[in-house]
Amino acid sequence: MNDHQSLRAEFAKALAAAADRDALAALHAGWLGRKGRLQELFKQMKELPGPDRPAFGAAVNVLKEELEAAFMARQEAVRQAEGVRAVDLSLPGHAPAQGGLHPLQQVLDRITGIFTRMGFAVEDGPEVETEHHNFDMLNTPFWHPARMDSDSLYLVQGHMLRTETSPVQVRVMQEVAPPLRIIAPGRVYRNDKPDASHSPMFMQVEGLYVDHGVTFSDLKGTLLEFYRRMFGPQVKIRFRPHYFPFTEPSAEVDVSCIFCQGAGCRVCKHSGWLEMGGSGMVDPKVLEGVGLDTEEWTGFAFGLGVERMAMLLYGVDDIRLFYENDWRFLEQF
Amino acid sequence: MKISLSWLGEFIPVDASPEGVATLTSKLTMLGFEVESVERIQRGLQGVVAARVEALEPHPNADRLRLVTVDYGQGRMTLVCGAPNVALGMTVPLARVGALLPGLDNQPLKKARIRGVDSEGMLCSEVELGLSDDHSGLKELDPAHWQPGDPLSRDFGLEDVVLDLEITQNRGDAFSILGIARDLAALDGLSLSRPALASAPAASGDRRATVEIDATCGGCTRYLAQLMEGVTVGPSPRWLVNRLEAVGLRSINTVVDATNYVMWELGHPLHAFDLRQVKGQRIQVRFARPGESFTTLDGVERVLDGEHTLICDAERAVALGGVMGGLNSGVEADTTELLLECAAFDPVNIRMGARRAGIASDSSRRFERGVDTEDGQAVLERLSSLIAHLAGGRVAGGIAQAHSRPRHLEKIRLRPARCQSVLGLQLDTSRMVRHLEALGAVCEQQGDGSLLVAPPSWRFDLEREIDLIEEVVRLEGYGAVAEAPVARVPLGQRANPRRELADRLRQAMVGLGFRQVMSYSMVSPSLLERVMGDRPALRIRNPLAEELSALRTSLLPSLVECAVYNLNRRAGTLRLFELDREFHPHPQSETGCREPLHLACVMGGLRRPASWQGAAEPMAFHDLREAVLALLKAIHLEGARLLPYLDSVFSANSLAIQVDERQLGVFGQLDPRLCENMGTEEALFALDLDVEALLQAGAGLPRYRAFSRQPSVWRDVNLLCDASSQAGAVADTLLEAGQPLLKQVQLVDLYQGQGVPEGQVSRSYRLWFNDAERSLNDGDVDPVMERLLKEADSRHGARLRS
Repeated sequence: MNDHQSLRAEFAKALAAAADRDALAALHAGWLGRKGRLQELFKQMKELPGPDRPAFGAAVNVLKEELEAAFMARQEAVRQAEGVRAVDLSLPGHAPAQGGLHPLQQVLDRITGIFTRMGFAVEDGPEVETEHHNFDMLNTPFWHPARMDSDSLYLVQGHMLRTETSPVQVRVMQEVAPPLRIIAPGRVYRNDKPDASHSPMFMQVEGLYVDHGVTFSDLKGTLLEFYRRMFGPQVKIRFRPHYFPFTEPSAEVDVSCIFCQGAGCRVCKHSGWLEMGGSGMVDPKVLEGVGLDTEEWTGFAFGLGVERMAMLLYGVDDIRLFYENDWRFLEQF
Repeated sequence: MKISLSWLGEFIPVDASPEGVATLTSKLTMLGFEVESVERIQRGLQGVVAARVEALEPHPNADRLRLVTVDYGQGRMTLVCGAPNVALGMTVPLARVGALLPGLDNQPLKKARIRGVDSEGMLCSEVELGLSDDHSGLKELDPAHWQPGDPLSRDFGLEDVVLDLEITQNRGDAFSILGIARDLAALDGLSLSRPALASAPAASGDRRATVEIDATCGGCTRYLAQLMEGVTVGPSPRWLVNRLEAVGLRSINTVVDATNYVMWELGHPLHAFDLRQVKGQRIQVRFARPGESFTTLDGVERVLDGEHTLICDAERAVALGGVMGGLNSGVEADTTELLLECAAFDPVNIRMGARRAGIASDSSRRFERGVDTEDGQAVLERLSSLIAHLAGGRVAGGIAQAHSRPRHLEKIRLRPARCQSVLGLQLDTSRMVRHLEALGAVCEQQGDGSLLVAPPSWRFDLEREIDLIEEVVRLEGYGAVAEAPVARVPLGQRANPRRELADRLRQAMVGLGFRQVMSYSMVSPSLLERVMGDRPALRIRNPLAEELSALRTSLLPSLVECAVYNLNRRAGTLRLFELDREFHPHPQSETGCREPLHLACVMGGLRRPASWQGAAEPMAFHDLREAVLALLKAIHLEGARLLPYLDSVFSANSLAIQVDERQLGVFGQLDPRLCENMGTEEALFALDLDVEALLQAGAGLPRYRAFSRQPSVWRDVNLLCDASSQAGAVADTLLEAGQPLLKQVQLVDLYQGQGVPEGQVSRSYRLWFNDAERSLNDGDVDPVMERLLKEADSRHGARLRS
């Protein structure tokens, strides 16, 4: 019906007349630009009756490709006439050296950043610990299964690789008087054979807040705030009763599944919840052990698994990948 | 621990529908019993329903058969039946076409034509139902319990739901059907029913065993024994086998099954001895003699120590107390007289004893978490009545018992205000009382408003006020505690400069194109030795594997290993770093270890890959050198000097970084023999930097220096130098002699060969001059050039090449 012959002719004439870069740019804007004549044509399509639109649109598209090709050819001719050396724009160059932080470091930095902004100082403690600090001071009696050779890694003479970042709580409380509000990120060790979900070494972030009048409600509020900043404001949390020797009441903390928002999916095993870590009110025995008056001071503590969070955030399905350090893994982060 | 819902249903009402199970699962979860799995069991009898006999007519073609019309809920049908006991109004099992009957090998039931009359089903006796061999007549169902249409699989333990629960270490009391039912009842304010059977009949006399606990034996706190006689041991009935199998136990015989059943149900481990094997009908509890050996029920001979508790008869040991019975005294097929044991043991003694002997049983798992010390009579009553029900027999007399030390249950003071302030939850005292009493505690209100709480004997975890607070919030629900909206922040907390420096180093390394790796702190001793020589390292006493048995004294071994791994998998550019701790033996310190933070990097492979712009260029020492200098600049370390260095890891192409006579680190080409040994022919370049030393050397904030806004001028000089001189030393001389106008010396060309005398090298330096106040002209630069060339000549014999 309308084969746009007159338009074609008009464009060809204008193109031939455009002799330098500025003229070409103006021509491009007038014809092929956002407010160009071809866009006008597309707009006309809306006024056509429905059944006519596809054919019209196809015709305009053909026209557009044609004009663009003609334009490119003319542009090349003008460029050559102006003495600009033609470059094959598809040639590869040298990639700049691309460094990167380990994915666990990135998650750790994010966790640390959130807690730092929430007023937590960052503390460190030794990874080779005394059994006294790792267990006794944390109200874990000598018979507790966690102390068995099959669970923990021991050196000699009462020394061991820490199984939690919790002994840092004890060390900091021994050195600094409350009120204190700290996190202690770091490596911890277990006698676990490596498999897709276990690693003999992994990373935890410990949290501790000791002050006048710290409550279980403060613990819930703090972790809710953390997980909302980590995963988004829609996140809900659930505290489940559990048992840890160094806290009471103790709780496992679940976060509403970040993939299905609690509706149930493969990742949360259709429970709607993701298990994130342990927490609770610091057991009075732990406070007494560092010489604090439990009538005056109360506190809460929590531990988070860094790998767990990284696996969720990045969709990594095997914890061993983090410590294998394969270039093909690392360069994805 | 597995629990079966049909079993649980004997204590509290249970809804086994999918919705009911979901609700139950969430209640258990919120009580602190994580549900690890839910399994639905269907053991047959599908298609078998209860039916009521509505009409009876004679069979037209057979005298002994009748036509029976039944109502089966969804309708009526008439079928042929030959059972003598069929009667009007009777409720009986009806297998419809397609039904699976255990007594008929679970083959789908087919339509039958009996003497010319079609039957669309079959009325069943216990034989077809697989319940027994009794084919005397139809199985009669209790009409009060069965409505027409009820599926038979509902009962007989054929259809069941099994939950696997995680029982935490502190909750020994919950290690049973009763324990779980008790918590659920407390949560919902229900009362517990107790399944009961008729008591076992009693013999006319009063035969009792003699029971004694050695005064020196601290392992056993209480021992109750009762004798039974006239028992016939046999296979257990189907319902019992089903229940045991549902929770993961194996059926042995009626008596052993009864002890296991009651253990699972009430949480108290029990043992039945064959009385013939209990010499003198006497039980004596004592500690084993060190080295004494004893063969347990499983046929394993165990060597004991002085803290294992042995149950002995007049002559010998018959059981390892709280853990397992002996091979010498178990119940046999021909056993008729029993000694039933219901004892209490010290939890820690059992736990450690079982661990030392390398044995764990359902019994030890319960005793080590704490088993009610006061329920002995009730448990024995349940056990004897169940045995009598299953295997016949009667109790021979009363219960004989011995105590070592009674358990003292301390009353605990609970201050409601304290409870509220720990939880951050407003809660009436009456609510606290309600929760604690629902759990079996007894509360007395005190004049000062506090509560004096007597915990129940089955709880081993209630000793302190905080323990009660936990129970209160557990029953109130953790969800009842609001999330506090405001956090108070303590001021004046200490800084962590080491961590801040580590962050900056990592950022700088990333900026320089390095990728961070993280490796295990545990490494193979042989790897450590290959790289670090025989420097002492801490060893793990119980490593997972030899390759993970030493703590690394340097980051380099795993880093080099990682580099080789990656180079062997992909030719290309490799720039890796790790920033973490080294572990050095340090006997003087509390932990026996010093853990300095180090930064190590490795680079190798290609600086530039092959491309259309040129051939591939291998990485060289100078690339590392520039990276290290840029790193030191990024952390603003002042006054670092680079000095020659050589050891068994770093080749002669290496430099040490020093500040004020203190070595901060080393970098250079790794010894080629080491690289080859590690599996690569390629040259590797590495850095090892001590972050602690860096911190002390004052790596800190940058100091701003005013820069010149005047244009610079440059001159090129081409110097013939002795080949043994260092390019850097000549550049330093030029720079020094050219002060104050000479700002920078840049090596732009190196040449040896035609036109250059043997033993000499031609070096082109570009010299940049600048003055902050004005632009320079030849008159300013010429005298400086003269001065610095003279100096280069006199110090290095370097002359201008024409």
